[in-house]
Amino acid sequence: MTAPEPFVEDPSASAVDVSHALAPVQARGLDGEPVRLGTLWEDRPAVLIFLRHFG
Amino acid sequence: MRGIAGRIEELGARLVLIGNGTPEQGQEFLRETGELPFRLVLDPQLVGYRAAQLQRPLLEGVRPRTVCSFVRAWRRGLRAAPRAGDAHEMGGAFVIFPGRGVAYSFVCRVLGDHPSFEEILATLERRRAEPAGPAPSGPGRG
Repeated sequence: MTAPEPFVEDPSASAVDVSHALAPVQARGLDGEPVRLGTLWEDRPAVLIFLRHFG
Repeated sequence: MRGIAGRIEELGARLVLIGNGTPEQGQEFLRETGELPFRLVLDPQLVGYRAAQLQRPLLEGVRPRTVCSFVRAWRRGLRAAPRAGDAHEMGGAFVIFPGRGVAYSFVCRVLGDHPSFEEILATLERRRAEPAGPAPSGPGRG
Protein backbone atom coordinates (compact mmCIF):
# COMPACT_ATOMS: atom_id res chain seq x y z
CA MET A 1 0.00 0.00 0.00
CA THR A 2 1.47 3.32 -1.02
CA ALA A 3 1.12 6.46 1.02
CA PRO A 4 -1.26 9.08 -0.38
CA GLU A 5 0.28 12.13 -2.00
CA PRO A 6 0.35 15.26 0.13
CA PHE A 7 -2.13 17.83 -1.04
CA VAL A 8 -0.45 21.04 -0.04
CA GLU A 9 -0.22 23.07 -3.21
CA ASP A 10 1.88 25.91 -1.92
CA PRO A 11 5.26 25.57 -3.69
CA SER A 12 7.14 26.58 -0.58
CA ALA A 13 5.48 23.86 1.45
CA SER A 14 7.36 20.72 2.31
CA ALA A 15 6.90 17.90 -0.16
CA VAL A 16 6.86 15.49 2.74
CA ASP A 17 3.50 14.75 4.26
CA VAL A 18 4.56 14.79 7.90
CA SER A 19 1.31 13.18 8.99
CA HIS A 20 2.87 9.77 8.33
CA ALA A 21 5.84 10.57 10.52
CA LEU A 22 3.69 12.15 13.21
CA ALA A 23 1.03 9.46 13.43
CA PRO A 24 3.01 6.88 15.47
CA VAL A 25 4.57 9.43 17.83
CA GLN A 26 3.64 8.85 21.45
CA ALA A 27 3.04 12.08 23.32
CA ARG A 28 1.59 12.42 26.80
CA GLY A 29 -1.55 13.92 28.20
CA LEU A 30 -1.37 16.16 31.23
CA ASP A 31 -2.21 13.22 33.45
CA GLY A 32 0.61 11.19 31.94
CA GLU A 33 -1.48 8.92 29.77
CA PRO A 34 0.09 8.09 26.40
CA VAL A 35 -1.44 9.82 23.41
CA ARG A 36 -0.57 8.51 19.96
CA LEU A 37 -0.72 11.59 17.77
CA GLY A 38 -2.37 9.74 14.88
CA THR A 39 -5.47 9.20 16.99
CA LEU A 40 -6.02 12.95 17.06
CA TRP A 41 -7.09 13.04 13.39
CA GLU A 42 -8.58 9.58 13.03
CA ASP A 43 -12.18 10.75 13.24
CA ARG A 44 -12.01 14.40 12.20
CA PRO A 45 -9.52 17.00 11.00
CA ALA A 46 -6.99 18.22 13.50
CA VAL A 47 -5.24 21.53 13.76
CA LEU A 48 -1.90 20.78 15.41
CA ILE A 49 -0.10 23.75 16.88
CA PHE A 50 3.44 23.03 18.05
CA LEU A 51 4.24 25.59 20.72
CA ARG A 52 7.72 27.03 21.10
CA HIS A 53 7.29 27.03 24.84
CA PHE A 54 4.70 27.59 27.53
CA GLY A 55 4.56 31.16 28.72
CA MET B 1 -7.69 32.84 20.70
CA ARG B 2 -11.06 31.93 22.13
CA GLY B 3 -12.84 32.91 18.92
CA ILE B 4 -10.41 31.01 16.74
CA ALA B 5 -10.59 27.89 18.89
CA GLY B 6 -14.38 28.05 18.83
CA ARG B 7 -14.46 28.49 15.06
CA ILE B 8 -12.18 25.47 14.58
CA GLU B 9 -14.61 23.43 16.66
CA GLU B 10 -17.56 24.74 14.64
CA LEU B 11 -15.82 23.59 11.48
CA GLY B 12 -15.71 20.07 12.85
CA ALA B 13 -12.01 20.03 13.58
CA ARG B 14 -10.04 19.38 16.73
CA LEU B 15 -7.56 21.94 17.99
CA VAL B 16 -4.52 20.33 19.57
CA LEU B 17 -1.70 22.25 21.20
CA ILE B 18 1.55 20.36 21.57
CA GLY B 19 4.01 21.66 24.14
CA ASN B 20 7.50 20.58 25.07
CA GLY B 21 7.32 21.37 28.78
CA THR B 22 6.50 19.34 31.85
CA PRO B 23 2.99 18.36 33.04
CA GLU B 24 3.25 21.02 35.74
CA GLN B 25 4.06 23.68 33.16
CA GLY B 26 1.20 22.42 31.03
CA GLN B 27 -1.22 22.71 33.95
CA GLU B 28 -0.07 26.27 34.58
CA PHE B 29 -0.54 27.06 30.89
CA LEU B 30 -4.10 25.74 31.10
CA ARG B 31 -4.81 27.87 34.15
CA GLU B 32 -3.57 30.92 32.25
CA THR B 33 -5.53 30.22 29.08
CA GLY B 34 -8.75 29.31 30.84
CA GLU B 35 -11.45 27.09 29.42
CA LEU B 36 -10.64 26.93 25.75
CA PRO B 37 -11.80 24.15 23.45
CA PHE B 38 -8.44 22.56 22.75
CA ARG B 39 -6.52 19.52 23.81
CA LEU B 40 -3.05 19.96 25.23
CA VAL B 41 -0.51 17.19 24.85
CA LEU B 42 3.12 17.11 25.88
CA ASP B 43 6.18 16.13 23.94
CA PRO B 44 9.13 17.02 26.18
CA GLN B 45 11.47 14.72 24.23
CA LEU B 46 10.63 16.67 21.04
CA VAL B 47 9.89 13.45 19.16
CA GLY B 48 6.89 15.00 17.45
CA TYR B 49 8.79 18.21 16.74
CA ARG B 50 11.48 16.20 14.97
CA ALA B 51 8.88 14.14 13.09
CA ALA B 52 7.26 17.37 11.94
CA GLN B 53 10.66 18.63 10.77
CA LEU B 54 10.44 21.73 12.90
CA GLN B 55 13.47 23.91 13.38
CA ARG B 56 15.80 24.31 16.32
CA PRO B 57 18.29 27.01 15.34
CA LEU B 58 20.62 27.37 18.30
CA LEU B 59 22.02 30.68 17.02
CA GLU B 60 18.62 32.22 16.43
CA GLY B 61 19.03 34.45 19.46
CA VAL B 62 21.99 36.29 17.97
CA ARG B 63 20.64 36.96 14.50
CA PRO B 64 20.50 40.70 13.74
CA ARG B 65 16.83 40.49 12.84
CA THR B 66 16.02 38.85 16.14
CA VAL B 67 18.11 41.31 18.14
CA CYS B 68 16.39 44.24 16.41
CA SER B 69 12.98 42.78 17.18
CA PHE B 70 13.99 42.31 20.79
CA VAL B 71 15.21 45.91 21.08
CA ARG B 72 12.03 47.28 19.48
CA ALA B 73 9.89 45.24 21.84
CA TRP B 74 11.97 46.32 24.83
CA ARG B 75 11.56 49.98 23.89
CA ARG B 76 7.80 49.47 23.74
CA GLY B 77 7.93 48.15 27.27
CA LEU B 78 7.36 44.52 26.38
CA ARG B 79 9.18 42.05 28.56
CA ALA B 80 9.55 38.37 27.94
CA ALA B 81 7.66 36.08 30.25
CA PRO B 82 9.59 33.29 31.93
CA ARG B 83 10.07 30.46 29.49
CA ALA B 84 8.73 27.02 30.27
CA GLY B 85 10.01 24.36 27.95
CA ASP B 86 12.70 24.42 25.31
CA ALA B 87 13.12 28.07 24.31
CA HIS B 88 15.32 27.16 21.34
CA GLU B 89 12.64 25.01 19.75
CA MET B 90 10.66 26.61 16.96
CA GLY B 91 7.00 25.96 16.54
CA GLY B 92 4.77 25.15 13.65
CA ALA B 93 1.24 24.33 12.62
CA PHE B 94 -0.41 21.61 10.56
CA VAL B 95 -3.94 20.91 9.46
CA ILE B 96 -4.33 17.17 8.94
CA PHE B 97 -7.38 15.43 7.49
CA PRO B 98 -8.28 11.82 8.24
CA GLY B 99 -6.87 9.55 5.58
CA ARG B 100 -5.67 12.45 3.47
CA GLY B 101 -2.77 13.96 5.29
CA VAL B 102 -1.54 17.50 5.60
CA ALA B 103 -3.59 20.26 4.00
CA TYR B 104 -1.79 23.17 5.60
CA SER B 105 1.65 23.45 7.06
CA PHE B 106 3.68 26.20 8.59
CA VAL B 107 7.16 25.87 10.02
CA CYS B 108 8.42 28.78 12.10
CA ARG B 109 11.88 29.80 10.97
CA VAL B 110 12.63 32.87 13.09
CA LEU B 111 11.43 34.21 16.40
CA GLY B 112 8.15 36.00 15.96
CA ASP B 113 7.08 33.73 13.11
CA HIS B 114 3.48 32.65 13.51
CA PRO B 115 1.08 30.61 11.42
CA SER B 116 -1.84 32.44 9.90
CA PHE B 117 -5.05 31.47 11.67
CA GLU B 118 -6.94 33.03 8.77
CA GLU B 119 -5.30 30.52 6.43
CA ILE B 120 -5.93 27.66 8.82
CA LEU B 121 -9.61 28.54 9.06
CA ALA B 122 -9.81 29.01 5.29
CA THR B 123 -8.31 25.55 4.79
CA LEU B 124 -10.94 24.00 7.08
CA GLU B 125 -13.74 25.98 5.44
CA ARG B 126 -12.68 24.91 1.94
CA ARG B 127 -12.59 21.28 2.99
CA ARG B 128 -15.98 21.55 4.61
CA ALA B 129 -17.46 23.01 1.44
CA GLU B 130 -15.99 20.33 -0.81
CA PRO B 131 -17.66 17.02 -1.50
CA ALA B 132 -15.70 13.95 -0.44
CA GLY B 133 -13.11 12.93 -2.95
CA PRO B 134 -10.90 15.67 -4.38
CA ALA B 135 -8.11 16.73 -2.14
CA PRO B 136 -8.36 20.25 -0.82
CA SER B 137 -5.55 22.65 -1.41
CA GLY B 138 -4.25 25.14 1.04
CA PRO B 139 -1.59 27.72 1.64
CA GLY B 140 1.12 27.37 4.14
CA ARG B 141 4.81 27.14 4.45
CA GLY B 142 6.72 24.00 5.11
